[in-house]
Amino acid sequence: MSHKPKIHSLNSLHEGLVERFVFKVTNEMMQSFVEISGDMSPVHTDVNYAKSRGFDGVVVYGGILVAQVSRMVGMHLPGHDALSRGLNIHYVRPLLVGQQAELEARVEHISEATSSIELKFKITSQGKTLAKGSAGVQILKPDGQ
Amino acid sequence: MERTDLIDRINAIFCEVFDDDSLVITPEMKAGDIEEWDSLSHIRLIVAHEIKFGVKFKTKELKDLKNVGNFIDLLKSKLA
Repeated sequence: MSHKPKIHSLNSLHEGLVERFVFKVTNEMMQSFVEISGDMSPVHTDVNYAKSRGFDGVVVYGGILVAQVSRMVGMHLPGHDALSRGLNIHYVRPLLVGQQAELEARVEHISEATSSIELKFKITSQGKTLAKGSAGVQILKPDGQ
Repeated sequence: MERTDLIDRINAIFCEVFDDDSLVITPEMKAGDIEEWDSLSHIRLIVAHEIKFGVKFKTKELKDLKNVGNFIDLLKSKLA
């Protein structure tokens, strides 16, 4: 994983531009999220409970998927000069710990007058949609200066 | 599009952005007339209109606006 955010200005972006990356959520990430959120709901922490409710393992926190959207915004689209204005996300299917997933985001709209962009994103695994949504992002240095 | 239809659609966007179903816009209305109309909600308002009407505004066009009536006229000119 690169630790240097991309630097996009309004001019270097175009509607239809797509960025994507692959990720896996580990047990350590789940434990970190427990500490951040205080959420110890058993479907996310107790494998026996999760299996008794019909899942193949503990379900990854939705908040961790939001964190991946944050990574997309802050590291890729638009990267360095991003300020998130808000997002909508719909969870469709569960992601399990250790399961590989891909986040793809596309620039749907560029607003020159407000120096902001609208993204549509989708999280998939094995060809199935796990979550989808949209995000509004302001670019704090719209001319890249 | 008839002006009244346009105003109805704009009004609906204002209601959504400011989360107030009872909001009724008037041509004389200004940002100071709506308590929640700050810089962030202003961006949401502009972007929502751009997306829902399929238009784009320029920075200078928005700077010249004095009230909601000016905004309606600007939008109408872009849809003509």
